[in-house]
Amino acid sequence: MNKVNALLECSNLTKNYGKSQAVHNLDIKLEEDTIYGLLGRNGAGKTTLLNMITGGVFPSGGKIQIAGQLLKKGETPQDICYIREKNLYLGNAKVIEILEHASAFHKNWDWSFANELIKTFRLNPQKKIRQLSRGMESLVGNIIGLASRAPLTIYDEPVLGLDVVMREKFYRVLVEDYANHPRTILLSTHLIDEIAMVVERVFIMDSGSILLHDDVDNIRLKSHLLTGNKEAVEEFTKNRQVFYKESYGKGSLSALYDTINETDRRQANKLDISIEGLPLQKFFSYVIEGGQPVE
Amino acid sequence: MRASFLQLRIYLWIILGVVGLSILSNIIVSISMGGGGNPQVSAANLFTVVLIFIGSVLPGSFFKRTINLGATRKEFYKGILVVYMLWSVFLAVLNILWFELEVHFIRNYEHTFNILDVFQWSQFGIVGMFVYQVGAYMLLLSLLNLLFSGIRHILGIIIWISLIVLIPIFTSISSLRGILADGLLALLFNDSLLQGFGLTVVIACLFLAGGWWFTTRRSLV
Repeated sequence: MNKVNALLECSNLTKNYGKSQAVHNLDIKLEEDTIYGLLGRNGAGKTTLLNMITGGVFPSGGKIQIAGQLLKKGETPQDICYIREKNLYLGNAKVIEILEHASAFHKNWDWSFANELIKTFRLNPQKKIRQLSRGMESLVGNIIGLASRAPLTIYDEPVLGLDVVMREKFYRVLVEDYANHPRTILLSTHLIDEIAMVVERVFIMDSGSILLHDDVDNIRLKSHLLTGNKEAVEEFTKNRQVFYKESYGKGSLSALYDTINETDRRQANKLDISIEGLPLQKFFSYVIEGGQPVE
Repeated sequence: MRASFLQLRIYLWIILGVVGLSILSNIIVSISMGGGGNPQVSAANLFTVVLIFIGSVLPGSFFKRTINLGATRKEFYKGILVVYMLWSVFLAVLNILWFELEVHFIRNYEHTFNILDVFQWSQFGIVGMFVYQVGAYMLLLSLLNLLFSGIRHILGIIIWISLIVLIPIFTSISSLRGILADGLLALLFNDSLLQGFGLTVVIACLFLAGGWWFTTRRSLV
């Protein structure tokens, strides 16, 4: 499938709160029919970015384009379903009433799928929102996000309060539905390893900037952890992109973002350097620790 | 409409409870005093107080909840305008029906105060009473909508402070009191239905435009 059309494009996006800069000079582009992961520590600026994209907060600078249309101040973009981390559902409303209200604002809403999801996630549609646990509230949001079938669906911490069984169930349903109804989905989370099997591309964000954006497959292919003698590791990594370094005695540990071919592996072997692949969670930690943009 | 009803449900129950208690206590007092000696405020007028909750709750917390469910600001604003209009029409009809009940039945036993008499809207007949009330209720709702939509905006805060400062000034200085009285007379006690209704509609439209201006500048955090 051709994925060249930008559904959302932000350029030079900045958000200041008084003197502190929550997001600065950020560029991000989301293409059609792709699942993205937005990863970052608490306070990295993820929610501020999502709030700006969805028109909830106004940028201090830069521009946001959705499907080629400039998002003006005060405009709320249509065809976006944004499931916030902090839901604001009416406490005295029933689950089914919340779904009914949400369905009114999403033109692609699929009621048969919503009813199926209620059963899958074992939610009681007659239960009042205030009687739900935090995990169940997350599920209500997740059902809205899935059943809305919006061209751009954004989840901010969608598995908050969910146990591992429900988390896996949610990811499975999401991927299955995405396969049948491709659309753009952006998952913002700090549970990185869990979404590694779900997302196709990731953005790693820290201190209001994007440190890295790449395909998950590419990250798996290019992220390596080298351990060995300090001088040997330095020689091997010369002219390569090292995004994290740590020394211990005469030894050294370096995280490398580059393709390593058979010749490189033979050279590393000669230098007595061990090369391991990096799990996404570890890769994320090293990128954040390094604090430098990774190209 | 349903979502707004859910949001307002608690306030509606409270007001219905208060009106119910008021009617009950008035009946008890009237019976014990032998009737006629206990002038009452019209029950329908009391229920009209619900407008204050509608005009403050909907542009307040209901805004965030609705946008959270996927509405755009435009959809939200159009929705609350429809809700304002429907409530104004409903309360105008209720007050007319209750007024007729008072004139033809209740006042045989008790004296009642009704805003349709107080503002002399009853002089315009049923259609006139309806039109004048809808205009006046929309004016109140649009003012509250403006105030609560702009509650977090610097200009909105200035409007709040100005109102808080100007009301006591205009009511305490006699020359200004005259101006205030003239304004209220032109708006609410106008002998010309067309003038009175026209003025309330024009001002309500200005307030609603201001409310929309604030709505487009409201953030969700």
